Amino acid sequence: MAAPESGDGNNGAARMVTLISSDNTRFEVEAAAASLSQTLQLTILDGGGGGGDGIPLPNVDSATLSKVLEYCIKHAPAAANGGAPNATAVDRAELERFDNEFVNIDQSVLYSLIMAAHNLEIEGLQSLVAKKVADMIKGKSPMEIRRTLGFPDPTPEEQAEMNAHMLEYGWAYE
Amino acid sequence: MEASVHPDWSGLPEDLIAIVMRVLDIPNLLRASSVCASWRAAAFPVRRVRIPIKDASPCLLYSCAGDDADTASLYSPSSGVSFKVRLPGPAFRSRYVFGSGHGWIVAADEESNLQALNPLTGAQVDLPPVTGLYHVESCSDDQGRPAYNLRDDVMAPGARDVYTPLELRLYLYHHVYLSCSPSAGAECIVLLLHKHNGEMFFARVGDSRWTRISWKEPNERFPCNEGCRAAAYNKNDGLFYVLFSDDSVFTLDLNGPSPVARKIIQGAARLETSAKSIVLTPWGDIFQDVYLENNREVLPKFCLGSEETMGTIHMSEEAEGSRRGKRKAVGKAPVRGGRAGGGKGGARGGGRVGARSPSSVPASSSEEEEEEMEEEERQETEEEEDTEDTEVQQGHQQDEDRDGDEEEAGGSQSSSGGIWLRGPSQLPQRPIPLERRPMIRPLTDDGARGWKTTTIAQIRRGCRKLVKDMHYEARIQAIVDYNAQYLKVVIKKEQARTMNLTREQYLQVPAWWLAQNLQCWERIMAKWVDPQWEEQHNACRERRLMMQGAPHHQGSLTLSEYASRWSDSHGGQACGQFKALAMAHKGKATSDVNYNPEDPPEAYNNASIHSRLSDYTSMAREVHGPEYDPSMENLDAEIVMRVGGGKKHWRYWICYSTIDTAGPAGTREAAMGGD
Repeated sequence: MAAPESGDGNNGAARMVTLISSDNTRFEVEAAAASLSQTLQLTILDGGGGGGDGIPLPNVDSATLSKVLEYCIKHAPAAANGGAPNATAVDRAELERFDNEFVNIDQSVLYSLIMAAHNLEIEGLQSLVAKKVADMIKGKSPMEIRRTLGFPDPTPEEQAEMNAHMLEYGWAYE
Repeated sequence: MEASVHPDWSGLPEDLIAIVMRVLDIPNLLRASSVCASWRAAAFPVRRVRIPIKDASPCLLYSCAGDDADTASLYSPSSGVSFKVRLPGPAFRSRYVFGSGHGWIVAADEESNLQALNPLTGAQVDLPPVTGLYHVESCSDDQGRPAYNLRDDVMAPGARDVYTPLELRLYLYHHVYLSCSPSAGAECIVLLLHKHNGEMFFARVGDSRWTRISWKEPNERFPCNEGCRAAAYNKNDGLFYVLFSDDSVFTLDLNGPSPVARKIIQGAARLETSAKSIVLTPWGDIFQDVYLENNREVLPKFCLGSEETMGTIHMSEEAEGSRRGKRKAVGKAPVRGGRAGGGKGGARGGGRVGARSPSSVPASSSEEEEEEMEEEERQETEEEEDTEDTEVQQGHQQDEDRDGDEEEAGGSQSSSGGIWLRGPSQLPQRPIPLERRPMIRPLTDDGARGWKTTTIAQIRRGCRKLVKDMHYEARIQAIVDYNAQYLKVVIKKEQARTMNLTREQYLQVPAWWLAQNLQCWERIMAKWVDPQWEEQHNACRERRLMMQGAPHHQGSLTLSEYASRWSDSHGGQACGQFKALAMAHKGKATSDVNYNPEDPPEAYNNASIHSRLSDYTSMAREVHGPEYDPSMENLDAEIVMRVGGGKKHWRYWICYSTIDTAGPAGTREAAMGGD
């Protein structure tokens, strides 16, 4: 829960917005960070989220939201620079390192994260998590993928489908 | 962190799965797409991007020199993706591709056996072996190496030719067409066209032999010595449409116990071209494409719609100015069966977005398969070129009533009962209405080339020539002026052309139109005093002088008109045909010419007329005595016949239209008499 209150430090000019998670926890962040989310950006531009109102996010629980905001705060400065064209190599390496660490998390969190990123339309976070998921299923057979991602055991039909698929795309299973 | 929700990855929104899958490479993507139903559904749009699936445009399948022989590269020009696939043996590079369709290619290995191969999935199906053809047997050659015996019953019964396996596939196979994906098993009919005599064979996937489609048996005779050139499969009616080299089109029903062929378009039999193709358009038309090398004759083309509603077209377009003349027809006819997916190499994976096949469509080629590619490419590039070079005026469907007329007329021409003849096989006898005629014109003004651009280019060219001429005339005038003003000599332009002035002299006589602007004149004349220019000028002049003059000066006059005109302008002197003939090759009737038997060949426009005149004279003297003067007489047909050895190529030796052909001299005897 690092992110939310840390925003207080440098309020001054920075506009703050309040986000309310599904379990009614309030998070106060800089508008710039929250604006990484396309969904929030529109609301914020309309003047929402300021003062005591807060923007309710019924689809995101507090644990996930804090994680999301951690990402947003880290990436906000780079995004403010217009995709960081003038960011130094060090900055970029730092961000990359952060990203790698960031997704090195439990699968269920990963899942909530990608759902939240999807709901809030945070493009960078979406592709970051997607890449992580892709890494997880890379080089695995369909069965292994199912196991990795905790799918229930396949129904007979599903099994048959998978077998047929395997027959047809035998080369992809080598 | 607590995992309050059990992650349901299968319930991931489709676009999220798509994001994940976009990161995966092809094999991983394929595996991931089979994980569960929702993932499979999500994979389709991705695969469409990653693997050019169901793309209307064909892909290029080729073997890269840098890769091993098993690896093929697949490139989709439309989506710009390319990737490599490893294919099951035999080595892809050693194969020769003879057809493609439904995402599969059909290729012959080094044993000349055909296999159907899906380059994306790596699936492979053996088609009947080459020895499954009735006239091919395996044997060994002199050195005991495997070879094939080929019997040719059509051309030379009993004769046998020995081919190596590598040769045979090139000699034998022309093209292979698939009715559907070979993964459908026996559902899939394979039509094989032969190269050397245009025979046709078919087999179902799983058969061990090829079934010959005999010439004799079908209820309509095939143009057997012509042979088939191309085919297309129409999945709406389940028929193959086969195009023969005389432009006739047969439908071929291979679904029943024995093949049934029907002629649906009468051949034109006018023109033999080797490259032809037939394409079924998605809206159900047949499109026949004939490739004509340097041939600008207008060729009728047809296309037809469904059985009931038949549209005729007369559209042909003449691609003048393009690299080669070619034409084709586009027509419209109502759709019956909706999209009838079909294409030259075979239908492009039609509506088959089935769950199991990526069904991309490789139109195939490996390095050694250029021929095949060329053909395919030609078809495509030609279509593009057309739009570039000429605006195609689309053919219009005939009026309803006219349609009826034609069908009737067609029916009466057709000798085959019960066969629906769908339109005339030749251009209608009446002229094509003006508004339907193909027209050659530049592209519209929206395009790069229109009337406007063409006109501008034309004007520019004209202006450049005018300016050039102006300079030339200015120089001549300057020389004339200089001579008149300073040397007080009157010279003609003809003389002036051979003269030149110095820089200072030129400066004294600027052209009147820029007398106010001497600087400009200086610029212009600077060229004329340049020795390099002078050298070139003289060289060009020499060359111009060497150019051949007019063949004669008779103009459009007849010989007797020339003679009388000469007489008029020469104080009424008599002029016979012979003299007129001689003088017509010296100068105009009104000019100062006369006939002198002693003139050398150089006096005439061409030397041959001189030798003919002297030949005629000597023959005439032989006949009429040594004192005979042909110049005062008319031409003697008999002498002409004798000198010329008769009427070679049905023409008199000289003055074909002057000599009376009905006269007694125009006989063989007269010619013989001189011998």
